[in-house]
Amino acid sequence: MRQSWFLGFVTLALAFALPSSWAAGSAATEALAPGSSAPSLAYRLIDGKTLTPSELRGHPYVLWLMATWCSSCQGGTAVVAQHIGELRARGVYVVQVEVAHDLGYPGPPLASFQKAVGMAAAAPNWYWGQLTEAQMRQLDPHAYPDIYYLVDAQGQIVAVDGAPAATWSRIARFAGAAPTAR
Amino acid sequence: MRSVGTGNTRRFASAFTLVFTGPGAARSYATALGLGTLLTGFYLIALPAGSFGALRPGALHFLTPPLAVSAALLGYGFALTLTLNINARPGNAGAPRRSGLLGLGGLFASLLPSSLCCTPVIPLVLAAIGVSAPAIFRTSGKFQAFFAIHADAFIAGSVILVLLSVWFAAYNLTTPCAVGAAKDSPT
Repeated sequence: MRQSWFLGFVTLALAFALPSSWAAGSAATEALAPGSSAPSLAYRLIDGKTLTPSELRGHPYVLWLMATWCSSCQGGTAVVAQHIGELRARGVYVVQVEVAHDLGYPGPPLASFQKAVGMAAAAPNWYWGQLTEAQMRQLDPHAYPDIYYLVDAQGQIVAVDGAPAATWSRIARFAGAAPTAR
Repeated sequence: MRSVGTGNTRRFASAFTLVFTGPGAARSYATALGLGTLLTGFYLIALPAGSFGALRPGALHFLTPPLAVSAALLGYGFALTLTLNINARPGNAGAPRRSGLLGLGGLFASLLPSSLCCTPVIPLVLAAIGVSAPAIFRTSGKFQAFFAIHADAFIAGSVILVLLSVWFAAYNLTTPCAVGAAKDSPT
């Protein structure tokens, strides 16, 4: 009887707990696989400007799709803020874009994320924008709320993952491989 | 009314005295402290895993004092329930099972926000049951946001369930017999 309690607990704990780590480790059945070219898209930024493909060309960048109600996205934003200076030194951009309509649940505005990280949000290599539905279909067809692409200076997708706080070492390796910005 | 409450408190205290000072006290301490420490360690990582994005020790960076207290209450609370239930009389098996299930329910409910929000689980489940891609775009956020936004309520509810399970386990331990148990229930 006692053994069955214990076994039941372990089984159920694993069933509930595994998805969290699995999500970060292999975040997404990949919409755009590593090795393919990142689509040339113009991103609508929350300051009213547009980030064009020509501005991204020649720069490695992290294209991070996130929902504003997502807790791992809030944690990830804090971690990006801690390292945004290092990324800038390497010429790496961060393009953080809110998924279209926040996947059906209106979360807080993206500006509140900027406010939460203070001055770091104003880093010139950190772009904040919103995806259109058409871009969403292309970049996140499975509607994952926390997924990023690492795109090299040639526009090739190097990796796809999620939860930047948990997978920062991967982003750091990617940035480390980039040449130091002049 | 007061005497009933005092009576319950006395019964609660006597259950602990019975388990932690009587014969087999060493085993009770070992179970409560060993399992409690193990579970608390797990929850210290599991509760902030939602903000971190993975069930790994790195989640400790997102541990806050309320989460740490909740982890300890969940871990040691459930270990206490189990310890009390182990000492329950064989003839009164139903009551420990009920309090144990209550505690287990609390443990699992606390894991729901970090497991079901911001992971591919819900979109994949919706896709697996045949929901179309446009519908997933419009609805998956509603399910996931529910767990994200109410994460604190889930954890608080879980802690209450586990504490209730301790209370029931202690109460059951001092219930004289099945007839007595039916007659007086905890107030």
